[in-house]
Amino acid sequence: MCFLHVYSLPLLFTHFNCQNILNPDVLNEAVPGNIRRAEHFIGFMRKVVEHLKTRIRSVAGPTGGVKSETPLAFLHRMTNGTMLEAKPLRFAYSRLSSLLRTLQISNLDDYNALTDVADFSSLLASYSEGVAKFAVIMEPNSSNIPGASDPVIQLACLDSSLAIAPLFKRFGSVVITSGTLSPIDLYPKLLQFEPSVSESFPVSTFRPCIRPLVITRGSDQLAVSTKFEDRGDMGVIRNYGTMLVELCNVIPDGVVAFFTSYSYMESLICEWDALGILRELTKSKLIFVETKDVVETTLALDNYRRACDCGRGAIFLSVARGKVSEGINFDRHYGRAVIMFGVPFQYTLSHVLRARLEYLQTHYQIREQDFLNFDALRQASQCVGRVIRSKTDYGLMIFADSRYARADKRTKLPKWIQNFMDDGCLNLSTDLAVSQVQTFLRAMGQPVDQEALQSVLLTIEDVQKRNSE
Amino acid sequence: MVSKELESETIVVFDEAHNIDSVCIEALSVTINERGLDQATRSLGRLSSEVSRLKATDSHRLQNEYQNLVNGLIDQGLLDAPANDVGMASVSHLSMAF
Repeated sequence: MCFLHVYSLPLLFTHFNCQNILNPDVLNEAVPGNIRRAEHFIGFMRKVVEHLKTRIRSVAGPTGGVKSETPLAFLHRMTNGTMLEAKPLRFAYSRLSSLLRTLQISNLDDYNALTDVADFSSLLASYSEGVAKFAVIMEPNSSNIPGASDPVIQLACLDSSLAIAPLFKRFGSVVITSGTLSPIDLYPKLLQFEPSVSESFPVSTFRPCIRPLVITRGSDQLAVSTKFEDRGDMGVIRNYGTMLVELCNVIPDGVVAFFTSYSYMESLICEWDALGILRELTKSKLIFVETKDVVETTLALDNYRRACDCGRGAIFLSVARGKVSEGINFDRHYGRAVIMFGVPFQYTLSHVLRARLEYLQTHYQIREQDFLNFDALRQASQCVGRVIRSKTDYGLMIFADSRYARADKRTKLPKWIQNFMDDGCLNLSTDLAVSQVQTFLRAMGQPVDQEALQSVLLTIEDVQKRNSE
Repeated sequence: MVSKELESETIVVFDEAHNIDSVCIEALSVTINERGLDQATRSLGRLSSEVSRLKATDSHRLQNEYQNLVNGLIDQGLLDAPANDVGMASVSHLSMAF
């Protein structure tokens, strides 16, 4: 019997928790006598918690600082410091789950922190041998507030193939699909599997309803980018602002703009306000902003749609990797253009990221810059993909950063977007882009050719015919 | 667990899976901070009280859990099964000691 099950990713992984990901041999071993009894287990966990407290205090202390250890080294310190053995540590997570069930604990959320400690211990003890696929990274200040003390110990998994390996082993057929899986051959490398089928499908359209544009400079020919060194550059700030105003002047209804981070978006908005750019902008569109607060953002989205509906027009300022970029659709008049300001790279100074990049380079020969580009471009693709949701829909996908003109970035966009790109859309200045926008919108504004539309749609008879083949 | 109910002939589909590698990484990563450790200590205190309370009122349940663990080990051939009277007495003696 064959059933098709569709689950959301995080849901499937929480169910496929570390109990399944632990080596099956571990599960088949005896639960060590000293943690079978509930009181002993609680005493055992107390020692683990105390040891972690000691380590975390030393990270924050005067001789502390950022440190990285292999799981083996961290485990040794733990077993030496607590006089506990490694073997029972492997069972910490499953023993705790069993105890919580036996005690019929209903408010499991209260036990999240303890569960994390058990999870940490089990993973640490299970993966301490062989090639280090994890790193233990300790930092004295994990918050964004400089000078604050918020020490953390992070058990960072470096190998994404570990979590999914049991799934590949257990199930005969696994399908991985998305509109932005690009470059497609990188995924089998990251997840360590041999695809039996690897296909990339173009969008079937009856007219060129997607217009990607790469804007690399302002009308003054000055290059624009969100590179770290360019962020304070007044020329770039002014050019981005002018670009936004001029595009909004010629694009009707809704426009969505994505930025690379909340902090960058906020600082740009402040500068634009000082330059009078926001005031200019409100002449053509009402301005709405995504914040970190879900309720606020929902309200903003609501009113954004109302402004689009009534003809006033609106612009939604949003953040790549945020809630809006992953989930909200801006179809039809709600999104006639998406503007991606900059290239949304991950925070490259993160120690956890650095550890992962090193691992990818060493074990899978994936170059650091290639991975960072891939990750940034998939986020950018997700952002611009918000704008087209049906056959008669149309929209502009505007990439505003000089680096998008480079092949190592551009070729990482999904093929179905690249198919709509020609030489005339690359390396534009703001004024050239504006005239391209006007041409595109005039063409799209023409009545839909019904015959052409029908030619890319399947009728019921077509579907039945294909099924019988 | 959901996964146990799925037969191996199931077709598993990951839709919108462009971030699948990040999700895999996050599923096996854990962050520990001071606040969490304090909470863990409090949780352990609560669990300890619960166990004592349960021992006083419903030692049966704790015994059963212990018995299940032991049975699981016997099934796997990792512990010798109790042999008739002598064995049963020693097993029940063990569970009383729980």
